[in-house]
Amino acid sequence: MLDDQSLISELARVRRPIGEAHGLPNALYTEAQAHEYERRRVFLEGWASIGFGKDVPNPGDALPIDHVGVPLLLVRDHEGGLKLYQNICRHRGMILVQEKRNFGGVIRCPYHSWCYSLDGKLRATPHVGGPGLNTSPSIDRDKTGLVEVPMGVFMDVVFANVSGTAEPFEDYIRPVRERFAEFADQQIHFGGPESSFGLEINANWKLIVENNCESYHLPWVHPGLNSYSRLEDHYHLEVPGSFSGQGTLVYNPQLDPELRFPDFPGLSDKWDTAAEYASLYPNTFLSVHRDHFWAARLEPVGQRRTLEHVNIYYTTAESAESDTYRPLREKNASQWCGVLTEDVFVTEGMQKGRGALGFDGGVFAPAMDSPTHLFHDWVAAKLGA
Amino acid sequence: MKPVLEELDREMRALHEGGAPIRRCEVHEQAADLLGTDPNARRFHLTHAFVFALEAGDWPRAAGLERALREAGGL
Repeated sequence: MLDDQSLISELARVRRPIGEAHGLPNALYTEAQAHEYERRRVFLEGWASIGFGKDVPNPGDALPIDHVGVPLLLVRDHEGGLKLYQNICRHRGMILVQEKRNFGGVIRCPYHSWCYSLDGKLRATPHVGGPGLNTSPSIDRDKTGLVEVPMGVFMDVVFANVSGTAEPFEDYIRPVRERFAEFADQQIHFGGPESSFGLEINANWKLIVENNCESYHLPWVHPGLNSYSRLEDHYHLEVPGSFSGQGTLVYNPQLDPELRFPDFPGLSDKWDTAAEYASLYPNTFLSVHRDHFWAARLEPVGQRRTLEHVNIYYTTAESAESDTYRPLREKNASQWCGVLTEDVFVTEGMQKGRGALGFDGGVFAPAMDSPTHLFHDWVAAKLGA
Repeated sequence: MKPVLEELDREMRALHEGGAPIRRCEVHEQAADLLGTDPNARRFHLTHAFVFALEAGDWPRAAGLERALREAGGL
């Protein structure tokens, strides 16, 4: 059973200067009560990524999403914009859409056939006043539309604040938008099915974030990187309260001796050899390179299980869609999938390690773990420390 | 039940498993016409025809059915 006082005390310890701090308490990785508290404070009351715009490419596309137990519906409206709703009928709370599909017209509830237009308006309430009578004085259609959920989009990643109580999306995204200013407004093109993959990881989502934050593990866990991307070629990304991560100074893709992906236009010289990997709190990885971008969303499906959804984007329609570039896209995706798969034993191993009685959250190496500590500090603050 | 109504009833059941909202709309329009002397039955089938026209995104047809429903006292 979670002891609130000891949890608060342990969270306070996380927020101390890195040389004195400990990591997040074990309960947040192992105890259901702590998980529920975290679910509400971190994922529902703040901003978190819930999907990708590329998953609903056409007008009328609707994608049901289970966001830490909250049913959401992502819709591409007839004007090409994105809408996010609670995926329930206002009548009896029935789930409106069970699986991804396209709606040429309204969204009809499968229970009593109440109908909603894609802009969320309640359009029809059949038999609501009795057989063949479609109005009722107690049902005000203007007040009974779909419940819209605050959302925002950055580089095709869709974010939601389910409670509606977080800061404006522009404020949430500003630090990473500024960091990636040269990429943020570029056109990006999803690389198709071969540029999308997922990992099922038996570990708490926070362990995957902390592993993505730091370069300390690279020479030990990813030995293939040592030949061209050594540990000393990396640097920290640190923006307290928003994101942390790592950058490299020697990005030099060599997927093919003759063909290479075109670069984003107008980049400064820095990006000739740099690439950066930001973990935007809580659950989004944004990775920029001069010739491609990838984003990952962590979907916590339980306290000890996480799905990692990875999508790769390119700089032109040709490099993203043509057969000419298909082998290159496949190779790029395969390489990234390989690197991220190499991390799985670490995150799953840390999860198993959280079963150790009395584990104190561990200590941090100030020179190497400061991005990780920033993430732990952010979680502790969200949980009230 | 008249044979033509029995046939419509069979088709409605066959279409129930999903899809084909335009055909479902048409079937209910026919039923509304055939049962036009019974205002309750007409409103019932116009209601269903209207819903399926909306589901199909056939906006002109939905607008016509909405008018018919209103004239029949169903809206």
